[in-house]
Amino acid sequence: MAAATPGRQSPSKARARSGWFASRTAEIVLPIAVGLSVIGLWYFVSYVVLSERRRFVLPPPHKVVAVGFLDGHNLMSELEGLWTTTRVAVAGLLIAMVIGFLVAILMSQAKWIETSLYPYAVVLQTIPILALVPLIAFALGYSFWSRVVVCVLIAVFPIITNTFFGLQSAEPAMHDLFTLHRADRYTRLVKLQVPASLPAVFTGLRISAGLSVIGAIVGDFFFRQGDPGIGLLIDTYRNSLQGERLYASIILSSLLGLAVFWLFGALGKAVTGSWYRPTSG
Amino acid sequence: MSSDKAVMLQFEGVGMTFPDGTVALEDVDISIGRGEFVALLGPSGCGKSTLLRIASGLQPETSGRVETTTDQVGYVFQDATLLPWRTVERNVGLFAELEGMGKTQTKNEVAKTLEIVGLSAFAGHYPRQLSGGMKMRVSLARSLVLHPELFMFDEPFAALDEITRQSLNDEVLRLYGAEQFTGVFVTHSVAEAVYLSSRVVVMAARPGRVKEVFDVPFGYPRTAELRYDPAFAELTGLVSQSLRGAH
Repeated sequence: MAAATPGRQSPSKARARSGWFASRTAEIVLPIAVGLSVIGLWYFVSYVVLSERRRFVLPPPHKVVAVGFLDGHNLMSELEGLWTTTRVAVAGLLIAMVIGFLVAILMSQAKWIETSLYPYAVVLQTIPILALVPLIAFALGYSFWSRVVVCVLIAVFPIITNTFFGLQSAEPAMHDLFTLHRADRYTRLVKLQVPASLPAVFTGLRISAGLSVIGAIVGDFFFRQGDPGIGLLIDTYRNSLQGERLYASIILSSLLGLAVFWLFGALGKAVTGSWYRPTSG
Repeated sequence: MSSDKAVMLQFEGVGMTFPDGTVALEDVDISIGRGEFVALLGPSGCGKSTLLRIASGLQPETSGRVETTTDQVGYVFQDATLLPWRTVERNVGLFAELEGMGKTQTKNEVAKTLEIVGLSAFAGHYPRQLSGGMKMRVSLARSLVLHPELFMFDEPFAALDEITRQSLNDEVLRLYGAEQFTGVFVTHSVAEAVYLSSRVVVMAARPGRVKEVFDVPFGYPRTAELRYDPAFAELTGLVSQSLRGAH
């Protein structure tokens, strides 16, 4: 029995290692393969499916790069638009964070507050915010801040729900510890509930950051005064059939979304990574 | 039967009925003297953990009275319940922090206590890096920092393997010898109950009540040899028999 153990162990170890290697390789190779296929399909549609007259609908990738990214003038106006949109999205996200955290903390402190507020948090999510955008413009004007309001409305819900869920996630036995040592409400919140909530909070922030970017871009479509955001540029390029710049702007927008998603992922890992491991990995 | 020493913890006709009418405890009388080590032994559902929660004030009794003569109480749960975002060091300092002990004093006490439970080398580790037995040591240390006069254990080692459990039993005995606290230890292991305590209270279920009380005649300090003593085997046999009839 004992003699059989080492012999039995090594193949399983080897299997584990080759599995690890395969998964690491797959993590790099597979996405690249998919990316290349997408670009291939893009060329195919652009040159084979579309007639030359209709090629503006989907210009080939190298033209998008040449016109949209490598032309200094074009790139500058796109980046300026992106910057305007980024400022709106960041301001919206920051305000959504303040409101979201406050509401979640209030809800965690008393059942009656939770009961009174939660339905409205849900209603907020079911309202088609996009349909409200013209109304917001009408009511609040076309300033920077009314664009921010759109972002707040769209980004606040995931922050509320995830933070609230996180604040409730400390085990009853951990609450018992604090009860035994006569901890007051504030101590319990700061030393138990808030730290316990952090993994969920960052999940919420990641979702909301992405939504805030989308909110800012959609807001651009409607707020046609003031600095043009990237959304307005997308709309303009669409109207003037500038396909190359249109796709370049869309790619930039999604890069912005990726950047905030990555940023909050990294931030979450920096704050909770030393003690928290998601159960999936 | 009970000692003539000052009473540390006393249950007088304690009963606990849940709102749905389930009687968890009925008319429990136990008196625990200062410096005693009492094991509460019983099948699951006999209310032994509930009794401890009542004693510590985590749950109110629905009838009878509980009296403690100290407010320096240590409590160890079945799970280690360490805060995963705190290192071992900061987990051990938690209770001291909640009780308002100064920073420097906390630091010193924590260092001393980690030394006692043999975890100094792990001060900077997070709970997820520790084994089950080590987590339990941290949990013990966390209460030990405050030098409790009354130490309650709620089936602390039930989830551990037998070897780890025995070594932690020895640890508890060593701490009992050094700190002179009064111990109340809830368990469903007969050997653990007899090995640790000076008195074993066997409880029966439905409703939870005291069935029989055994005095354990072996003196302290105890060593692992006691486990192989025929007298130990004889007493665990008697207690087991009593427990068998308790379901």
